[in-house]
Amino acid sequence: MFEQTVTLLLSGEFICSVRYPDAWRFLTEEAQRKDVDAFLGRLGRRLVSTRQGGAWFAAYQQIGAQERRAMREVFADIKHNLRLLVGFFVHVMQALRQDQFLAPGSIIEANRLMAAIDENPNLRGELQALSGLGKGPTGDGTLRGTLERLLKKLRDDGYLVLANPEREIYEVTGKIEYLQEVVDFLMAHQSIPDEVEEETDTEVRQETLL
Amino acid sequence: MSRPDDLVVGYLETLHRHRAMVAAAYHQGWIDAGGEPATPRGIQDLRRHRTLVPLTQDAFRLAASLARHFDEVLQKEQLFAAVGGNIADLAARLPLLIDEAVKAHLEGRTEDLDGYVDAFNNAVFDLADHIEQALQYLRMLADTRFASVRTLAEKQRQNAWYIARAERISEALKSLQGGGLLDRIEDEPAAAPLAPSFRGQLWGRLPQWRESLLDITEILKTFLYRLRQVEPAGRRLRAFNLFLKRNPDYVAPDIEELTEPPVWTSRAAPLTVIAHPDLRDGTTSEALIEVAVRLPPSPTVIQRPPKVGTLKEGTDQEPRTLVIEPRPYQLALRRLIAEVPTDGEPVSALDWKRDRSEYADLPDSIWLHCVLYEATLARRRTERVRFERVELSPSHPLSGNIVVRDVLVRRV
Repeated sequence: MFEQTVTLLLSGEFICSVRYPDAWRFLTEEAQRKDVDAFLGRLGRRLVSTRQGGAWFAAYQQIGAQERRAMREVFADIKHNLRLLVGFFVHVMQALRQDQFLAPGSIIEANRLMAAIDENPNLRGELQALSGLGKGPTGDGTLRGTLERLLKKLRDDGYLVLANPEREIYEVTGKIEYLQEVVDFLMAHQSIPDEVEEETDTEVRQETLL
Repeated sequence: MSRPDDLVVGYLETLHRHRAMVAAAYHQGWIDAGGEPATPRGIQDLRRHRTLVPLTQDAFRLAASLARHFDEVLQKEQLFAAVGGNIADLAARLPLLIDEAVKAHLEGRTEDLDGYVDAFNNAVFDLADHIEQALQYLRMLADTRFASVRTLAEKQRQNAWYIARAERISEALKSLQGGGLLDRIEDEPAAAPLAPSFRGQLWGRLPQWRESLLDITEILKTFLYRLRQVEPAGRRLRAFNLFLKRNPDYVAPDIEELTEPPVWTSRAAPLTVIAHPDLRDGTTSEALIEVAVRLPPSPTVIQRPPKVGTLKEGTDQEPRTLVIEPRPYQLALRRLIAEVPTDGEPVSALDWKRDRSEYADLPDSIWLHCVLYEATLARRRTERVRFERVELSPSHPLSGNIVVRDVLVRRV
């Protein structure tokens, strides 16, 4: 399991209990974690977990010019996808009437989500707006197609796994905690207030009309 | 004469006969006497066995004890289930039964003693079963993270409830361990028959149960802690989303702008690891051969460039008739195909040629090549003729060469 775990970490994957349960179990042992960390150390990397402890990933040990360049690229990718990612997860929370953050292991039922979006014009408008943020082909233009495309993107990016293909049930991975850390940092950095008054229906409707 | 066994079998048969009604009553919570799948006879039978109890005039519910049994078997999640509710009560029976057994022994009431021993054994088993079920149920809840409730507040309330239940079970286990029951059983010779079941069913399993309970409580408490953190996280994400919507021109700062980059920014870029097989390593050659033989042969497409013709002098004159003479190998091939026996006997192309001196000038290798070429053309004349290569093993398995020694031609 050492080999698989190290290979996953080096290839930039986030190891969490949802996506890579075997590697995750392997890293729960402190001795094995130390072993992996020592190995990564020889390649200029170290084993780091998200603040909530739901995912492990490899980070640079020391930041030189070369590392800074690579970090810039990683960060540019986050910046590029930020609106889509944040928008999608908030959209899911609204559609499924879940007041809590989608923590690792949270379930997203595509059919239930689609039904909820279908019966709410605001959510329909939001989904269309979200689809405009993503790259690539726009699909068949139907709401279902748009949602499927977004779910696939999130799956490809490692934020979701398809837990039950027959019933189209997705599970949120530990990488979401990384996104949360990015959001928390940006909010603190930009002094964005934590308690923003909720968006009114009128505001949403006007935005949709625009 | 009926025996208790027969009664049990009889009851199970009644349940089986009306299984559709029992299942409907369990899943729906009640059953209408006039609707599907109820039948008057079925209602009557099940009521006689107290399996169904009246809810209203025409509606019935499943008896609570049977519904509870199904819940246990199917591990159905309930809201605020009274997990381990009667463990303390069941445990309280044990000292009373020990007292009565000792008294019956001292007073020489042998039959009564047997009755108390049986009752004690049943009570011990009942208690052990309840503890086991309660722990299994709590474990299931901890693992599924209260999947049946959606909102955060509900999950928190459920979690707090089950932590309290787990603590109650823990208290019951503690009193069972520290209540001196084992000492009493061991000190009283009259209570000796009670010892095996007490030790086997309860005492020996107590450490394992306590460990499991500690583990479950730990999971529930960790989950509660995380639930308390999740709410602000959700709120922050919504707030940030709203900020992004209200500021469509907002762009996150560049990494150079950050004086103290947080840990997450130092996430390493993917490092692709690619390995190649070492062809000189003898230990891997077998595996490589296996891979090589499974590779499909690459199709050989012979593309002949069209010949550019030149006009001969005097082409404007009347065209001459050119008779094209067939080449020796063409004649030989036609003859070979004609001479292949109709009974399916294969003919060696090489032997056939060698037997005919007129084709002595045709080299063997060219002849075999011509025969193989004829096979690839799939002409009408070779529709019922099969060509089989006789191959030699190549000098090296990985060379990719096919060495043809002969071609067998036969009619099918």
